[in-house]
Amino acid sequence: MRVVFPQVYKLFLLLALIPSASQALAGGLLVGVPVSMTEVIQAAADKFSEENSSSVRLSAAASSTLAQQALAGAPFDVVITADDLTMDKIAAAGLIAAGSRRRIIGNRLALIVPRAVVNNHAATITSLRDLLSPRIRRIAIAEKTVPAGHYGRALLAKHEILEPLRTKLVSATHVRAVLALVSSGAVDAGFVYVTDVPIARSKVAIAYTSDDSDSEPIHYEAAALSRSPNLSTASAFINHLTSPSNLKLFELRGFRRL
Amino acid sequence: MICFDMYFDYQTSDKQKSFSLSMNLSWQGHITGIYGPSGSGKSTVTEILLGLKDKLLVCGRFNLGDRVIFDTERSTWLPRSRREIAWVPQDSLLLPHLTVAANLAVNAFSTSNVASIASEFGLTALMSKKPSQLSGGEKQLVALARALLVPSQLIILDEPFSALDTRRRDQYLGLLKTTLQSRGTPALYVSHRADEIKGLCDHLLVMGEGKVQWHGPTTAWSTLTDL
Amino acid sequence: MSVVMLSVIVSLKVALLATLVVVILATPLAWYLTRRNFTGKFLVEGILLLPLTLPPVAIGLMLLMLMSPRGILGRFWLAVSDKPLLLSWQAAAVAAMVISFPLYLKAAMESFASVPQRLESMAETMGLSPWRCWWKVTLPLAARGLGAGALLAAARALGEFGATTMVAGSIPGETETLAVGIYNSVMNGDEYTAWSLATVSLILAIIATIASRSLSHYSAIRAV
Repeated sequence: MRVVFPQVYKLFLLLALIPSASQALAGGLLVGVPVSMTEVIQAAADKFSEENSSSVRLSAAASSTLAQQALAGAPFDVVITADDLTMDKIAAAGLIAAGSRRRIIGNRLALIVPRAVVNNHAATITSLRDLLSPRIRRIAIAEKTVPAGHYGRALLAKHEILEPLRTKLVSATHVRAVLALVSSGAVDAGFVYVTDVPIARSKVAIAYTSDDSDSEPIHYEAAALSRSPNLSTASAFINHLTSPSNLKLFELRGFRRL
Repeated sequence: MICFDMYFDYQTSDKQKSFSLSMNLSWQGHITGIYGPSGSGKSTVTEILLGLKDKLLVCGRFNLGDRVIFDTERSTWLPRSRREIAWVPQDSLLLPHLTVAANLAVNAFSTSNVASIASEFGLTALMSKKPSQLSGGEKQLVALARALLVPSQLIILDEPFSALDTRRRDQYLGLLKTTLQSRGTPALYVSHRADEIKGLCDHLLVMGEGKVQWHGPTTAWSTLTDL
Repeated sequence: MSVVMLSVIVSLKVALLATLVVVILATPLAWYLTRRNFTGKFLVEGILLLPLTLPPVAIGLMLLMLMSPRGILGRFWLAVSDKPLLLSWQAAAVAAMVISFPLYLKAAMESFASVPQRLESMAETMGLSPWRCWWKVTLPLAARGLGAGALLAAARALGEFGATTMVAGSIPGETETLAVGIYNSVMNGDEYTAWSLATVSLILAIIATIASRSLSHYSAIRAV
């Protein structure tokens, strides 16, 4: 047994230490991205890699999960969140590199319904108050801890319909899960970002879009983490995100300039 | 001839059915029979000697020749693998995943011995078969051959032929007797059949109710009958 | 390399490492739990089987703490590889290990329990030391059941999701396993990729579970 054990242990380490293909590229960035920004940040990252010959890997998750991972010490170089509160949490733990925190872009909320509903019913939803109708039984919304859930509830509260609608709210893990629920017709309506709609454009229709007077402004924030070994590249990436050409890219996909 | 010296008490911890066994005797013998009705403790004796019973339930000592197999007062307890006591159980216990040849060779003195004992017992034709392909009698023969191939000071046979028909039993008993006598290996033979004991053993232990009722040379036990 | 191929490679790496570690760790443990009795054994068994009933996300949260640079697993990995454990495929493997460990442990315990103790005792009386006896008698007789258990553990490791996303994130090509890939594709509206990945997952799972069942079907130890 004593003879076998060290060999077995070494075999494991050998196996376990097989690096992943892209891990081998030094100087690369690991960016934590909120689910609602997956595609657009991927496009920005591809452009950045080309121009700077530095690899950028993305890990997409709900902003609250990104924060949990960052607080547990996940090796992100850059973190992007869909609201200030989540970024504040990360800042409070002292994890953000000084001066790197930046507000990059905004968004709007959309109330969506399954397209089938729109085609079949003469009376459809035109305002938020229509949600109170008994026709609407279930409304999907992201969890409270996720920015989209927070924004959505704030929107309903602003119109004073949050309390009456509470029993109809169905929580989903994040905004894309809401999109999936509405696309499949499992719920009667849901709150997503305007930028999420194109993904399921054939299955959903926008019934209402929020504007500035309606709710809390939606801000995406980015920051470099102070423990990153590639701080200069990280800052360069954040600058790239806020560069005029990239902001145009954001706008093209439905995000809103600040 | 070999010297036996046993003294032990065995008590099962099962509250509903307690069984207590008591032995205290020494003797010399070549083939010793353990004779008694079922439930008298015959198999339990052999299991204790082989080390199959939990040592916490045994109190006493067992010396075999000049070796101490166990002595609870001095905290000596040889593990099964070092007792050098071979075992032929009632149900052969052949290793089901190995052929007869491999079963015989498990820990044999040497491979040439395997071939010679196989031919002696008429097992050569069965060497490449698996235990599942053998009859009950064949399995017992293999078990016996296997026991004889392992370096041992003593062979314990626990009613090895009780499940066989009379003709085969007599045949195998004859084979057993000649083999044991020619090798000189001492044996303990457990049985409830008088004719087996009379034909095979020179010394006899009569068991009853968890105690040795009588022991001595077989010839001195006049009322030997089947139990 | 296509998304599907990348996910398959990640999943296979993760499942292979996880199953290997689980088999090596849990086999002797299963043996010990089957053949020895000690006070509080039921407690130990209960704790070891816990991941079977805990929600994977809860396990993910606990693992997140353990894998952080200050946690015991994170520090060990840092010492060995000089890299952080979180958000790596090895982290996904650890998550899969924890989830599939009780599955294999149970199967292994049942396999060992099905080996008649009398056979082992017989081998010992023939002079085989307990160690040799384990290799020559117990292991060959239990092998099919252990193999079936390992395949089941591998299948579970392939399908692991909740704990994996927590500790390994979803980095395409590195930690995006088949299960995570399916989830992301659905979320991104990429139905084609989602269905491709789902089909591959299904095929792998079918292979693993059928192989596992056929092994256990043929493993009956005939009492000789």
